[in-house]
Amino acid sequence: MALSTSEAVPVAADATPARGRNWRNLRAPIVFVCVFAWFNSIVDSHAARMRAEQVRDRMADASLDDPNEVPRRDRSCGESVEEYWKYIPDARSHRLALLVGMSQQHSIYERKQGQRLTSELMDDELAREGVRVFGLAAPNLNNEEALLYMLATGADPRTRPHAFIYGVCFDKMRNIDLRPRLQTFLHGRPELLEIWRETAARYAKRYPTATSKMLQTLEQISQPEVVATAEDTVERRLRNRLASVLPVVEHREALNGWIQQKLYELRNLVLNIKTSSKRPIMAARYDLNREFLGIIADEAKAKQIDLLPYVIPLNPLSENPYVPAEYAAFKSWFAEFGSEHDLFWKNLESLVPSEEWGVMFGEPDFKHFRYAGHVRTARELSAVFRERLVPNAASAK
Amino acid sequence: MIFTSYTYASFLLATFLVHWCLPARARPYLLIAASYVFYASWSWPYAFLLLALTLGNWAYARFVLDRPDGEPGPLWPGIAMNIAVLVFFKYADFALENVAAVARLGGSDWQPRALNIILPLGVSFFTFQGVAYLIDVASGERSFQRLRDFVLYKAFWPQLIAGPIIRPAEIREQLSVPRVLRYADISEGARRILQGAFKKVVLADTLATQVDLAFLHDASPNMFDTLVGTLGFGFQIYFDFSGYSDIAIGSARLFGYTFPENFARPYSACSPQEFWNRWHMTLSRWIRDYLFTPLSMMMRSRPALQPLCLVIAMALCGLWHGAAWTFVLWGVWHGSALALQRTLLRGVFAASGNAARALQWLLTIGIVFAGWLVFRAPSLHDLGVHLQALFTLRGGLRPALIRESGCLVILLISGFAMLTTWLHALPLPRFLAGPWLRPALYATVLVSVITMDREATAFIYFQF
Repeated sequence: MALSTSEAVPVAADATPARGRNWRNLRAPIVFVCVFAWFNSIVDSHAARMRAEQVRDRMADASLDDPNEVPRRDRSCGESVEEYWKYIPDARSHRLALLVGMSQQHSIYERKQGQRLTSELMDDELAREGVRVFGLAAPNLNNEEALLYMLATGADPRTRPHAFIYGVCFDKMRNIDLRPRLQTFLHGRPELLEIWRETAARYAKRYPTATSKMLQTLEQISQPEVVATAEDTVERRLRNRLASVLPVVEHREALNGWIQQKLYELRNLVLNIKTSSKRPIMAARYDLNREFLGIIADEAKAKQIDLLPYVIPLNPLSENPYVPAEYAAFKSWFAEFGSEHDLFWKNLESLVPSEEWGVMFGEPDFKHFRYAGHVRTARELSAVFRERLVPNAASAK
Repeated sequence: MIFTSYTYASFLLATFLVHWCLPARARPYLLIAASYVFYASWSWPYAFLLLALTLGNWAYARFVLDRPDGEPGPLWPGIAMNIAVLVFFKYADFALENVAAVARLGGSDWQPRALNIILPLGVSFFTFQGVAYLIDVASGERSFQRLRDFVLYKAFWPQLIAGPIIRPAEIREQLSVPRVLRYADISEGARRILQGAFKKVVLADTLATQVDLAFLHDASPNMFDTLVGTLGFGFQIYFDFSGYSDIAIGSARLFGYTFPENFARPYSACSPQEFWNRWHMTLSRWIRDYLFTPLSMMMRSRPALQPLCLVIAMALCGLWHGAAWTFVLWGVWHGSALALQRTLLRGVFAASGNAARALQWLLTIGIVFAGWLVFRAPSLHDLGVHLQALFTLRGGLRPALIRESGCLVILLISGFAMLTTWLHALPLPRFLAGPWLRPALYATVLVSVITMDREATAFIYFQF
């Protein structure tokens, strides 16, 4: 009997139904169950290693934080921001500054126990002067997500910051969309949904693409999958129940992340992509992110939040993936943007010396530094923004 | 209750177990109850709409159209009942918008308030099914005598939301004879469900995350975004909808019912007509039998106008997909392609030989995928932006919206899909389909579905 591809490849249709009698009929289900059980045992025994690999790759091991310390940043790096929301210091009793940005703010290369991140170091320095700093960093954070953080914190007097310090990163202008966890975060807050909608309506004329994207985000999060994760639905309970029995279900996110990471590495290997491989801007995404930055600036002004952006430090020795002319154009645009919106901002790209940077895929890492880089950045940010962060700092000086 | 959710899996398993434990006469009632639970889990008030329409259709067919004296009553009130429901829920806002647009052309500043009616899930499917049933009965087919059978025919959940659009003749026999539990049905049903889940969760949803970015409203895509995005969408909608159909067919099979197929490797088609014989087959034949055939009968005295019937029928098919001009345009595009196949391009599509087949296939794929661009564009304005990007070669081979890795994902999945289409008939070594490797492969597929699952995303065809 000639068998066709469709009979063996499960995505193709029209396979012949199994035939046979009695025990022969049971052979296929038994093999199926055995292989599935084997997968479960493999996943179960490797889950911890897979998670550890991901944490290592993200350089975001929260177990190295002081367990006795009240969190002063989102230690989940955007994966479970709700959990850390309650730790944002009360803005009604302190001056609150949020430090928002991408992975540079939450990763320390070769981190040792007790080493702190930029936001925590700034908090150490400024708390005695009545200013509390809280870190909201996530890998590849883009401007739409930064806007979400601004609108979400600004919506509640407890979390409404006096200053919003934002680390602007050129290559994050290639990223768009809210990550699924932040979609869930937005969906779970009806008042924030309303603010999101109103903001989109208010800026529709000035920033048409970004506000269209905001409305599209709303459409996206009205889909059942986000609803299901936002509420304690039957679906959620079933998933949790099954997760307690089947390791494949329990560790599906770790497994998914591990597979994605391996595919990413495979792609880099096959296409010879390195951390220094040039990544030209993507015109439409770039424009969209510029508009989002515009909304952030306008909205900060409207809410009387001091927006304090800075261009993030880069490794001076590492060949970065930016096309030099594009990066130069970005910096000159950002300078114009700063004056147009009357922003107090700082370019820190040359702040951290080469010896304070990490290594990635065998090459000098151009964006993530060692602990010393965090100390240096925290000191610099506290110094340059001091006048805007500490009450009466200017007159004291 | 989305087909790829854990809730649906539990619902299916529970119904399956109870169904086969009950005495044969009670089983249809259980399926009816389960179907209404399934529908009401989305919106219970609309379950009453479904019930009312079901009773209306049954009564109209039974007492008006299928009279003992052999003289059927008028057909149009029955059809109007179904179409009125469809028009009210699906097209009221669209109609208002367009009336206002016409009024604005005449200088009026009338701005109607949007009714914002929530579309009952599956309304396009169950109203079409109702129309077809009434026409069939008026044409001489026997009506359902037992209300129970008709209620189950209309409400049976696997086909309720997005088809396949089943004709009474295809299921009447199955509804009247008690179903028997057979190993082959369970095995085949489970396989089709797994296959559908794989298509939806692993392939369609992976494509969707990339494709959606290419069609961002008001953005400025490059030519490459438009090309890759359209390619990706063509496969996304195929995997999404054929995956849904697989789960529907598989679910019904678990209860002993066999549904008609809805897809047969549509992207291997070598002409627009062949494409429609392979794509959403149950809708295609509905359009052919209940729209195109009556239209062409009406115009049989004017053969020159026959191609126009195709365009009208397909334009209505497009409108059925959604209340937007992009859908109508998509229908007109396909109608025109079908008309051209019968007229100007008859020679091209009738030629034989390998080279001719290759050319026909390329032409058909080009037509179909160009159609997907029209179908997926968020608005006519966005369609214009995409066409501009395409014809001005904007950006060359550099994307502006889809990341390079996203393009790679789309190209890989599209390549895989075409490979399985082309290799469909090739013989494979026996061991690949043997009793050991095949179940192992299915277990791997199940693990991949669980791993890639993004918590039950809605199927594209739910919006239609």
